Amino acid sequence: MAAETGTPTTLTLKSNDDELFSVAESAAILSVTIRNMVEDGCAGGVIPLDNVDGKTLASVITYMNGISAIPADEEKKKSYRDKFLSDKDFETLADMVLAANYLNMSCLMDAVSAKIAQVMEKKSVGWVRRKFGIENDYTPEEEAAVKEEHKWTFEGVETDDDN
Amino acid sequence: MANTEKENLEKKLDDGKCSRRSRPYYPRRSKDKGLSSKTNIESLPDEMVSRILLELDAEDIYESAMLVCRRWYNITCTHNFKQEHLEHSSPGLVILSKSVSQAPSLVTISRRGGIVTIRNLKHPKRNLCSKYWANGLALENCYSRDNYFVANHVTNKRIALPRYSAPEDSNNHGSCIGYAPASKEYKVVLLQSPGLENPKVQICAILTLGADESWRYVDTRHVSLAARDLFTTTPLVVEGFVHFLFPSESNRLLSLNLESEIITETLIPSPEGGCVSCCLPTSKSLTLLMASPGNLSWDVWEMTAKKPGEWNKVGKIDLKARKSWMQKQLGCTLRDGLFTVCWLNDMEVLVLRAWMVFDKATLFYNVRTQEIQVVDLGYCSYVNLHKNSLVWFDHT
Repeated sequence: MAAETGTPTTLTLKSNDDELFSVAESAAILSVTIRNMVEDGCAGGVIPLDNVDGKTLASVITYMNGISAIPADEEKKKSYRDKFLSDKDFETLADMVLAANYLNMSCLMDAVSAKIAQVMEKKSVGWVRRKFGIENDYTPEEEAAVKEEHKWTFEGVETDDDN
Repeated sequence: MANTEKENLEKKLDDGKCSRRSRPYYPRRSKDKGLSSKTNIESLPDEMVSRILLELDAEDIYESAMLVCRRWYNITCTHNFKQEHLEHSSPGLVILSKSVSQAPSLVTISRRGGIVTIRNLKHPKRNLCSKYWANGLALENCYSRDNYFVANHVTNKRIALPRYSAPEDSNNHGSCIGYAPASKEYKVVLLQSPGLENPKVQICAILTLGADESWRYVDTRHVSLAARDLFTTTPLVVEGFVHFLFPSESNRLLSLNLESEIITETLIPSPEGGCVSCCLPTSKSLTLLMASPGNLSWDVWEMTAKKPGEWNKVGKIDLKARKSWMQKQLGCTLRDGLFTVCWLNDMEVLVLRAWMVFDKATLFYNVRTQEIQVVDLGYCSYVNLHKNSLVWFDHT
């Protein structure tokens, strides 16, 4: 399958908005989805990626090339990932989660998920809602019920909190 | 018992008076990817939102994410999510400070960048002492009475255990809480000797959380006389087992299998030349660190749950060349070397402190990158491994 012959094989990927990208097979097979296609011998022509747009695919390919150029050194790969994601906005990150999922790239998926979660660390409910533009669809009663559930519950504990 | 709690809440959510105002939830997904519908967290499918939320600390999930919207509540309230979150998070080091009234803190090494972070654990009842932790739950003991409680400090749950009526004159030794992964049960273990007349008789009582109404006894009659004293040592809990050993005095190891509740007696590798060895648990295995003279390098041996009684040498840690650097960082001479406190992130980071110097900083040595972080944790009276989690034991 892969390029043992010396000349690196190049694959052509097509985004859902019909942009074409050339990428070295050795980098592209970071995606398990693409690797399976290569292994099944159906990567000869153009590989259509129906769930990824051109902008996101360009980004993912930059990542594929960058990370595959690093030899087996987990620390360096990690710092590349951090640097790669450092300037991405939420919309891009959300697109990348979808792309990483579709392309089955677990390392990118993990890194992007962690990056998005990092923003929520130690933040209030209201802050998270505003930041991600999430509508509060709890009714006041429901919200009160959830908050109530989150109070301390004591099962079978005698009351001795007088001190 | 209570699944009921969740059901109650769901009932509350679906209850008549609420439902007039509540709307069914439809995830807002981009209907046509060709249109320039912005992707955001809202438009991601549930499994990806779940994947993202798994990265958060249990406290952030419980206090913030669950309250954000119904969809996030429904994603995070499932047993699967809680269990997956538990497995996904790495254990931290619980530190009890000098004063009991002060909340314990949890020291973790983040997966992102390997930075040491310290956070206070919630600990609302001042008259309770939590000493033992397993998979997100804490075992607490009331000083004044022989009562035990199990609590999850993140989700604010606590339950009193059935009272253990100990024989008169009996001495309490250790107590601990452990997790049996195959049966998915939490078990609490108490150790006692029933009085001065029979100092070699040991009682090991066990209770399955959520199942037992009263304590049961584990058979200890087959344990050799030479090993019986080990029951008075601090129990070391790893997944599926509670171990008792005291490597500087005895080469015997007692292991209580939490699934079968059978105690086995095996031997540990003998230290060479009278050096001090120390036994540290990881979440799934038991390790033995045998120090070379000077206490700055250690042979690391490991026994995994798969092969009880079988020890393998897995590596060596040598910090001799870093001695002067460490002395400078700590501001003291390492005359007696270092002692090993615990592993973090399953043998990725070894936590060390200076021997005989109690007020100095703690060293976090990353075995892979060989970096050392120096962090002042103050005086530490007790350390244990713990994961902040959302789990409770009455699922199934």
